[in-house]
Amino acid sequence: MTCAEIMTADPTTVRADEPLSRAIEILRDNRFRSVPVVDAQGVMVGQFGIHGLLSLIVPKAAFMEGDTPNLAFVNDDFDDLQRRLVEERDQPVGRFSKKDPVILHPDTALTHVVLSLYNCHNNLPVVERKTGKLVGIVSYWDIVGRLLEDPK
Amino acid sequence: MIAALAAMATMVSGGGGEEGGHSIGPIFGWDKLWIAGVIFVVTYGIIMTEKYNRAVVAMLGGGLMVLLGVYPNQASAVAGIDWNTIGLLTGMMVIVAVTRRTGIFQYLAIWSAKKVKARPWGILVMLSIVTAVLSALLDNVTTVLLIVPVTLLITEELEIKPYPFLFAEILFSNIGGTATLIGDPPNILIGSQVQTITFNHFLIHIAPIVPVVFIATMLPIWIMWGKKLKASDEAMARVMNFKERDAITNVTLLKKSMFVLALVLAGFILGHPMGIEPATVAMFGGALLLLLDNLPRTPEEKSENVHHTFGEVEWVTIFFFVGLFVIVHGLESAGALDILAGKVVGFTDGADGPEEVTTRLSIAVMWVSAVASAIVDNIPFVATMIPTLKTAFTQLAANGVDLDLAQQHAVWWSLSLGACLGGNGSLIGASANLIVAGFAERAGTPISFVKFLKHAFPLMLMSVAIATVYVYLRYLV
Repeated sequence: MTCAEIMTADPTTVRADEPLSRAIEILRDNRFRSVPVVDAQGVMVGQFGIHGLLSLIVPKAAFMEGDTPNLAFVNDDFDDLQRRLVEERDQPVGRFSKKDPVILHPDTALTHVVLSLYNCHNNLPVVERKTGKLVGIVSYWDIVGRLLEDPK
Repeated sequence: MIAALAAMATMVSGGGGEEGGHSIGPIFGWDKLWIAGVIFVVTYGIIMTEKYNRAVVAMLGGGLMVLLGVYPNQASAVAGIDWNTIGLLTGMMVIVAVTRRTGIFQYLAIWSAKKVKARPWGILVMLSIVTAVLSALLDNVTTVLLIVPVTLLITEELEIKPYPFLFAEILFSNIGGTATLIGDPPNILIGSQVQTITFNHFLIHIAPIVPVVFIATMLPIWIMWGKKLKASDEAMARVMNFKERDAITNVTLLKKSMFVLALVLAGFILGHPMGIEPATVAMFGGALLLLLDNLPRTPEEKSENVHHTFGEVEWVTIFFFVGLFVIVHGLESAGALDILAGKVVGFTDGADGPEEVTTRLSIAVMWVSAVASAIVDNIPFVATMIPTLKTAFTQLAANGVDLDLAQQHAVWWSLSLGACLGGNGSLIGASANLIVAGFAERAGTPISFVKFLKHAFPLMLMSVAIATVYVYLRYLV
């Protein structure tokens, strides 16, 4: 069995030129961890998820240092956090998407699929090797659900 | 640097053949001087383009010096590496890697910003002072790595453009670094390779002019931006709401770090009369702090933490130095620096006695260093200049012009001031400048090369003019 057989085909996506607010809506309404970002031809160009969303809410300078920065001394109130999010809402989501997410291919072996899910804490896009087109997505439950079925 | 390259070029194109006596052992029986000269010019040229990692280029150049037979064997190449510089840099980097985890540098920046009620101009001055003082005690690159992220945080909260702040921090990191032996790589090199110069010499001879240059540089910055920097009350309140105490993540480690830093500084100041060199002090301090930091940990945590700390040492800088030393020493052992020194000596032709030679040399070294350091990184320039000037002193003595120690020191101070302050001339003048530019780019407000040049080059010229007057009045009349 390979990745193609357990993935969810034709997943929900967001176009790179759509506004950030659209991507956030998709995440919120579906409780997704992330959504693949594609171009007009359906080629995967990035991924936008909860992680990227949270990074928009803290000061950008927090990401200047390599280690997890300590911002315990910053006392921004609720309005400050909200202001940062609102400011970027109308920008194209392509600007904020993670450009080099971990991806799988339809022929990726199952063990590697599980290891990648374990390492990435995220759903993983499945991309056609030659065209770069997004063909599906694999979530934890796609594979764990199948494994929990009664053994033959 | 340009003069050095020009001299090398003439040597390679015409002068090399006359030195046939040097060609023993090199590949295909080629002239050692030619090989060394070409490797030097090509590697320095490639480093100047900034297109390839400078450490890799320097290591390749150093490797070629050995492989192509400029050195008789590997041992003589290794003998060219200045382990005092390497040890001092590495030791200090370990100490900083541990100390930064305590949050003390963020604390300092926030505390100073709140002292001036978060008014933008006040913050600029305070952060400039913090930058200058830290630069004097730590390497410039380290200082800006510590200060720039918290500066960007403050300007972001103030909703103002970070450029004036980053501009000031670049300038004052180089100016502050000039003050001490450990503050700036050119000084580390001079302090390491000139046996008669100690940590305290820098405090006595260079540090006094630094506050003057600081104030003189701050004035034009005030004229350019002083009145334009404005933030809303709301924004300033946000910064005033910062709780600097919460920036400190580990009070115990902070105490250990401060103890070791104090010990190391005392070691630099008191060590020399006892024959203890800076590298010993810094390396011992680094090891001691690693020990103290790891005392409460389990064996697995210990090894992981030590591994992590060593990983934070800026190995690119260390390997760059190693490669550079092998290249410069290769050039020296091939006899090329004799020729370069000859050009330096030729510059003093017609000077009347050691005093006039000193004056001419000091002023020329200062200005050539300043302009060269603005164009290229000052580290390779100074690494070449030190053995060149040493050879020049020997050649002058052979000609009957014997510079005494004080006169030689005047020339070394000129090299230090010219190279350190010259680093402010352009965005590529010193490593710290490029680090700040990198941060600015990631923060979405890139610093333009030309804009920086327009603002910084005149200020650099002014600071070198002040340094020239200082050296002239103190040592040359």
